[in-house]
Amino acid sequence: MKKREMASPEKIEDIVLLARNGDKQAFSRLVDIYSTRLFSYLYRLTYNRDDASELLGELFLKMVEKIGSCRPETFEPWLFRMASNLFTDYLRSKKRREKMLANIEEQVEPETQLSNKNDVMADKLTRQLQRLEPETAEIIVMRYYSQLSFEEMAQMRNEPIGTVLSKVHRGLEKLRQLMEESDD
Amino acid sequence: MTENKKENVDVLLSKFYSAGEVERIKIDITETDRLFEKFPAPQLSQETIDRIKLQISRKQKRIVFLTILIKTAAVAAVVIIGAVLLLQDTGGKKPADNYAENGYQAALSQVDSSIAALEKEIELLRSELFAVRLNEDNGTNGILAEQVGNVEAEIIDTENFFWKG
Repeated sequence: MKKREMASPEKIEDIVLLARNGDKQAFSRLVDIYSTRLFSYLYRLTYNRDDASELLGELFLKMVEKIGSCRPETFEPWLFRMASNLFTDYLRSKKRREKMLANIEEQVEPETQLSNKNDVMADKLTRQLQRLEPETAEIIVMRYYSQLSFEEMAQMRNEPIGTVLSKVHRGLEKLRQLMEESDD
Repeated sequence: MTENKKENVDVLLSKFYSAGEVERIKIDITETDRLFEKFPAPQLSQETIDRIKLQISRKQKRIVFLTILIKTAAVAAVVIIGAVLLLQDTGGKKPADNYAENGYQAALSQVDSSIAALEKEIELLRSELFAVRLNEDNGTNGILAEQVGNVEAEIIDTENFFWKG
């Protein structure tokens, strides 16, 4: 899947340059190239199709708004960093919402039911990812879907490469363990 | 998946881990990639993609409109600033104002000279009246009285004319 979707860097740079000049077709092409990977990335982290779709729309609108500040050669890390920031914001607002609902007992019930329903619908891998720390899950999912090198990921996260490797290493170990322990 | 990376993972990992750990991490990476492929994320619907493209198109139109608006405002601001600077260079007065002021000053100086002439005439008449009054006691009352009357009437007329403007 990844190899087929991966366009050559030179081509992506050309498309980004066209998009920066306001070319409608170029934006459309970028959506075609990145929507599946970005949606998968967001779905794995939100465990919710609707939320992932909504965040994806928001992400592409931000891309249109800010593409002028992006260097074409670093488009992919730039795009995935925006996705990561969006997910962080989503997580914060979700926590705030849950905290607020926890104080209103009668409203907590429908939310819990919805959450459980999502859990049932999610696949085994998504459910085990949910059991990891959000940051650990994010770095594992990012590594897979962004196709960025460890060095690019370190730059994107403003962390030393050793720290990124260590987090990925511990995260993968934990995920494998959870998958093995899972009885379904 | 790993072969898509633009770096040599073996070399990179060996900088931080022992040979045994490197092998274990590589196995973990391969195994996780396999899990992601075994449990793929759901497909994104074409409907969602079309909706996003439509939103992008609308956003682009708004951006183009705002860009035009900002450029127009910038040009207008430059024109206004230029005009203000130009006016400051000419002492803060418009050329039209200068013409109006020149005409006004010319009219004033004309009025001033007319007033001066009338004042001179009044003074002359007063001195004539004074001389006539001095001669009244010399026994020429009839003609002199008439002349005095004429001069006084002339003074009143002149004064009236003066105050009427």
